[in-house]
Amino acid sequence: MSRDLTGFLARLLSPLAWRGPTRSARKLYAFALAEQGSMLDLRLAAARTPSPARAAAYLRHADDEARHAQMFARRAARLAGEAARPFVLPPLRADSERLFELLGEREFLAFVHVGEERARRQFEAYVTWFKGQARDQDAALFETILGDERRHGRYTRELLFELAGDLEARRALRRVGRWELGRRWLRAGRFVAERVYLVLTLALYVLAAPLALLVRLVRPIRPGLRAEGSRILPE
Amino acid sequence: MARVLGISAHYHDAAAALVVDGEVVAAIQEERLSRIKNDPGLPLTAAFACLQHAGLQPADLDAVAFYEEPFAKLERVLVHLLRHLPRTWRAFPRALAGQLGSKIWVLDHLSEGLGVPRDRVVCFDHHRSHAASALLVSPYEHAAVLVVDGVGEAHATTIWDGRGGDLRLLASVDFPHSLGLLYAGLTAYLGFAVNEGEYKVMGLAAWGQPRLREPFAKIVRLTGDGAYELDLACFAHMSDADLGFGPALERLLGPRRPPGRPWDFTRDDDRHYADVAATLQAVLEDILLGLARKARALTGADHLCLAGGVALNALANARIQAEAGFARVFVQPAAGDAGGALGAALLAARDRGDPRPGPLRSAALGLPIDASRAHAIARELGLPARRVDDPAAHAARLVAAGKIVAHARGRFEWGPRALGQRSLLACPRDPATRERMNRLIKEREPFRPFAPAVLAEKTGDFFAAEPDDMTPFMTTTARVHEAARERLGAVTHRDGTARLQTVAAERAPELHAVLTELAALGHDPVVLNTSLNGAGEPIVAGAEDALAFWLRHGVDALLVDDLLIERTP
Repeated sequence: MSRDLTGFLARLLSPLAWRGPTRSARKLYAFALAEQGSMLDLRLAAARTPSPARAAAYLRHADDEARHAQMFARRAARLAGEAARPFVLPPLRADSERLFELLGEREFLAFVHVGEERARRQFEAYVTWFKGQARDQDAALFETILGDERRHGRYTRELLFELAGDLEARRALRRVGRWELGRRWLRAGRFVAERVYLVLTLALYVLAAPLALLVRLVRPIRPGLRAEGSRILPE
Repeated sequence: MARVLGISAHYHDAAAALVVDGEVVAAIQEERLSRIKNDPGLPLTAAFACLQHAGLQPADLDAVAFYEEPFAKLERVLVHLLRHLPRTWRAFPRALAGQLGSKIWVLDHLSEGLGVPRDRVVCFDHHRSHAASALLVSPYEHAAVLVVDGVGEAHATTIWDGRGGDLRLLASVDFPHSLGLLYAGLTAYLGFAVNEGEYKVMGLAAWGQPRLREPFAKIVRLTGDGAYELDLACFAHMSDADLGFGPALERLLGPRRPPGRPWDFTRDDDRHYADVAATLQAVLEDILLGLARKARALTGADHLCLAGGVALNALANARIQAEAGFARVFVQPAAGDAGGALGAALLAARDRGDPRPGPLRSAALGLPIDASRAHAIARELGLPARRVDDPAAHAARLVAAGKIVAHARGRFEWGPRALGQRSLLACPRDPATRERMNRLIKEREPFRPFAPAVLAEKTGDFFAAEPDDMTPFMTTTARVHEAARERLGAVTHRDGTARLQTVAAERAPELHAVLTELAALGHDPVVLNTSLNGAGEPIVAGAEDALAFWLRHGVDALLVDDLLIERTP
C-alpha cells in the first residue's frame, strides 16, 4: 500500500474505527494480537539467524513487541470494562507466520521494515485524531509506541542494507511488496470462500436433518461403564 | 530393530517422540519450539528436532505413528453433530471444516511434511496410545491402566489390563460422558480458559470447602458400576466446543464467574466459586477412586498406571495412591495429549518386534541448550555474562541469598512440568518470595501454589512421604510436616500439601547438584521450583528463549549451562 494511502485511510476510518469503547477495545485487542504475532516471528528469527548480532537485535525488537502487546491489551481490557455492556476479551493467543523460514532472512527483514513503516504512518494518523478528540490517554499510548516503531523502521532498514547490499536490499523490498499484495489477494479470496462455505454447510446441515432421527435410534447415548468382553487389542 | 517417530496433533499440545531400537531417544512438544502455548498444529518442527538430535533423516524412519484414528474420530464427530441437531448448527460448519480440511488427511500430511512414504505412516487408537505411553515406560510388568481424558475417538475413560508389552481393553465410558469435559466445563464456568486453566481450578480447590455436594450430585452421578454419568443438560460440549457448559449448570450453581476479574476471597461470590472448585475436586477424586478400584478388581494387578489429561491432577493421584489399594502408581510426565505421541511410537516399535523400553528415568528428553550461542548473543546485548566453573554452587549461593534464579541447563523437559532443566529456583522459606515471583514474573492468581523440589534422600525430613514412582515427575502431592511448614512457607499450599518433586542424581543431575550445594551451605536441601516462562508463554527451550526471558522479567540471575548472568542492583 502506498505511503500516502495508509495514512489517508487511517485518517478517514478513524472516526468509525475508534467510535465508542467497544470498537476501540476490539481494535486495540487486534493491535495487541498483531504485536504478539510479530514478537513470535522475531523470537523465531533470533533462534534461526546465524549472526549473534542480528539475533540480539531481533530479541530486543521482540521485547519491545511484547511490551506493546501488553500495553494495547491492558488499554483494551480497560475500555471493554467501560463499554455500555462490559465484556471480557480473551487471553492473547497470537499465531506465528514463521516468516523467517518462509521468506529467508533478507526478505524477512524487508517485510519487518515495511510493516514497521506502515504501522508508523498509521499510528501517526491515530495520534493526530485522538488529540483532536481530546482522548489523551489513547494518544499517549500510540505516541509511546510510535517512538519504538520509528527506531524499528530505522534499524531494520540498516540491517537489511548491511546484509544484502544496496541493490539486493531494494530488490528484496520490491519482492516483499509483491508478496504482500499476493497475500492480500489470498486473504480476500479466503474471506469470500469462508462465507460461501458457511452457507453451503448450513444447507447441508438442513438436508441432513432426517439422519438425526436415524442416529438417535441406531446410535443412542450409552452412559456407564461398558465392558469390552472378549474384545482384545491388538487383534 | 526399528526407528519410529510418534506424533500427536490437531487438538492441543502437539508433540513428537522418537523411539530407536525400543528406547525413547527424544520427546518434544511443539509449543517449546514454535513458542505458541499449547500449539496444536502438526508438529513438524518438533519432529525434525527429534530426528536431528538423534542424527537421523526422515528416510531412516521405519514408521511414523499417529496417536489416533482420524476416520474413527470423524465418525464420532458426525454422529454427535447429527444426534444433537438442531443445537449443533453453530458448531457444524467449524467442526466439518476442521475434520475435512486437515484432520482426516493428517496421515497424508505427515507423509508429505516429513518426506516419508505414505505406507510407513500408521495410526493407533487415542486411548490405546495414552495407555501405552504410561504402561510401556512404567517400572511394572503387570499393571492396571486407567486412561481418563476429554475424549479420544469415542472413549472418554478406559480401563486396560497391561501385561509386559500387551494391552487389553476391559471397559470404557464413552463420550459425551467425560470427566475431562466435566472438568473443562467447570473450568470455563469459573472463568478460566479451557485446556489451560485446569491447574488453576485445582489450586483454587484448597481455598474452598466441598459443601456443594447436593447440586453436584445432579451434575454428575455415580452409576454404581464404578463409572459416572453427566447430566448433559449442564454441558454444551456435545453441541458447542467453545462454551463447555449449559444454562442448566448456572441454574444449579449460580451465574458463571466473569473471566479476568481479580480474585478476592473477602467477596461472598468468590468464596462460592472456591467452594465450586473444592466440590469439583472432591467429586472427581471420588469418581477416579471408584474407577481405580474397578480397575484393580478387573485386573487383579498390584500396580496402576494413569494416563490422559485428568491424570495430571496431582491431588487426585495422591488420593488414588493412598486409598485405591494399589502398591504402586505411575503417571508418565506428559500424561496429556502430548504423551499420545510417545505411546503411538512405542506401540509401532513393539509391532516391529522391538523390546519394551526400560522404565522412564528422566523427563529430560528435549533439546540441550547452547551456552556458547547464549554467550555470543549476551555479549551483543551488552549483558554481564561470564562462564563459571561450578554453576550449581553459584545457583545454590544465589538461592540461599534469597535471589530468584532462572536455571536453564541440560535437555529440556518432556511434559508440562519444569523439573530442574528449565526452572525458576528460589528459597522456599519466605512467602514473600512467592509474592515477588507472582508479581514480577508469573502474573498468576494469588491462590496458586508453587512447588518444592527436595533432595530425594531427605524427602521424609520435610514431607509425610518418601520418593515413589510419581514424585520424580511432580505428578502427586504430599503433606508438609507441621514442623517444616514455616521453613517451607513459600511452597506449602493452603491445605498443608505440596506438589513435591523428589530429586535424585540420575534423574535430574543439575538440580541435584544445586540441592546438594545448598545442603553443604547449611541450608535445607529444598528449593521453590516453578517453570521458566512468562505469563501465557511456553516454557523456555533454547538459548534465545532464555535471553528473551531475561530481558522481559526481573529475575536476579540466569544460568544457561555454565553461563551466568547476574542483575546488578
